Amino acid sequence: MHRKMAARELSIQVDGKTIGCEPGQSVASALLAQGIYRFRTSPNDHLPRGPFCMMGACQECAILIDGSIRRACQTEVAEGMRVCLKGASA
Amino acid sequence: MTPRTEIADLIVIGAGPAGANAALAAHNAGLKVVLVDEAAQPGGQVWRAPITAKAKQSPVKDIDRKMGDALRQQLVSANIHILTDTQVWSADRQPEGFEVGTIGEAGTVFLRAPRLIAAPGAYERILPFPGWTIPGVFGLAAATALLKAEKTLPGRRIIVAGQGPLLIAVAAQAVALGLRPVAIVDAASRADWAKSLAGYARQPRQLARGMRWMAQLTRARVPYYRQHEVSSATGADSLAGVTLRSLKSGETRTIDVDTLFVGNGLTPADEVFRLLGADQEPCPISGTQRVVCDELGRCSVPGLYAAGDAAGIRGALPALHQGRIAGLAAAHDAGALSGAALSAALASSSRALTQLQPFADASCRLMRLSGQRVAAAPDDTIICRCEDVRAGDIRKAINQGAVDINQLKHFTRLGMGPCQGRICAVNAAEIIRQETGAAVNSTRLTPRGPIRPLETAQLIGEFGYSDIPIPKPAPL
Repeated sequence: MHRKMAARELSIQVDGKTIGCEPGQSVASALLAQGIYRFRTSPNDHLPRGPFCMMGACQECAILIDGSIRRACQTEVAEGMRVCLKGASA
Repeated sequence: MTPRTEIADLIVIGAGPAGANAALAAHNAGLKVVLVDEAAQPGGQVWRAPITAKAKQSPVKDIDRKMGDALRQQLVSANIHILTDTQVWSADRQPEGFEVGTIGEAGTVFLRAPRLIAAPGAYERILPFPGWTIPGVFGLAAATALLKAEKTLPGRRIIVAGQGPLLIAVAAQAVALGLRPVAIVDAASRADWAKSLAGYARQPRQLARGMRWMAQLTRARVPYYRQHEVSSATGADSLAGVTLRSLKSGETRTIDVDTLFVGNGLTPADEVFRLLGADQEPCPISGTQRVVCDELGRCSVPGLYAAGDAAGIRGALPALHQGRIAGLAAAHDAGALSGAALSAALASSSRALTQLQPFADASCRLMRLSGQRVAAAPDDTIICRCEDVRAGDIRKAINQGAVDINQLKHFTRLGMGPCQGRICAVNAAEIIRQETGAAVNSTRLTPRGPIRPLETAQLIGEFGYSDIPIPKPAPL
């Protein structure tokens, strides 16, 4: 269903790959719309994790965004934003 | 660099129905108010603002959207000073009043005021099961956040599971998006819903909306599993299958899906109250804890007020009135409103609260998660998601002598990750209670600031070495 979505007006970089997104979207939602569910791994058991509560409480979607660890569900996409999933495992 | 400080008559934390109305009431009574919220726009969870073009364009029929739009308009018209996109990370009571540490676009800002209204709302409870940490498993409230802000949901094959009215709301809106759920999995029976009907009937507009949703689900022939729960989920990097279990017969069935939304009610967001040492009590309706406050929202800490779900789960409409009451009470206590004016202003909100209570009770009954269901988690179930602490680790720690949740934290690291116990503490508490019979009030983690993860760089801001004070060397 996401594929039918209207014109992508913004683009962000995810591990160097460009993805399109809409103004106002959260980073978490933009990645989910591309089928990216796995955002990081848990530090102890190294289990895959992705966004969970989508309201800023659980911190499961905290990833490197423009160089600092931010909650992807609470961060609005911006043109040229750089998101790093590799190496944000801690 | 010294962080900025703002001084006001009243700080209000949370710009949902409770906090925003508290701020409006106090502002209208003449107080200098500063309102803080984590989100980009006021409205809280239920009255969340549409953010993307797609969400904004959708027709404004929904009552939550209407109420939220009206509230946002009121805040703009009243010119309320509001810090959005701003997290509260500390709260401290000093002789001259409260100091609240915030961090937002402008960096660290300390707010100071003799009075503080905390209206932080609630967090969703989720019954842990093996596999609930797999990417593709989301909270049920996560779906409502996405629907309201962006009018979208992830996934192709989805299951909507848990308990309470949110199930119906999310499933029906998914159908409207063209994403028909593969199943609705509801812990409640028909009889449980029937018991709540009398309470729902007291709010005819909301009941009508619920009935419309039910009709949409029936028309779309969405399979509805009553008295069922999700017992496990499988998948490696993303969700592949979900196993349902009948709560009556124990029979299981597995369904292939890529996305699961699951939620089991709400629990008050209580970090600020715990930091400030406000008394708490068991909440008989939601089964968790709530802050103790009088009918005006005054807590056990002088100058601190509670409003909305933080003072016991009741929902958005009661929160509006609770907020208004707390705002008026703060204005009165600050000397800006006479006792007579306060009583006169309170009458309509008090009446409304009484009238709304049966509806809130009906929802809370459906949303109440039984402690036994939580404590039945198999040993390999992760309870603390941040630190990967499993139910078996908790039971082992209890056997080794951990009798309360703080000891459990020492033994296992539960609650020490970035969520700081927001997701795991209520569930770990249930396991301790069931295993040891401990009282509810010994099952809360001792609060420690910062109550949100912070980067040191954000906290200290820009500085030069000459800004660092050098203490005088100690005499030899």
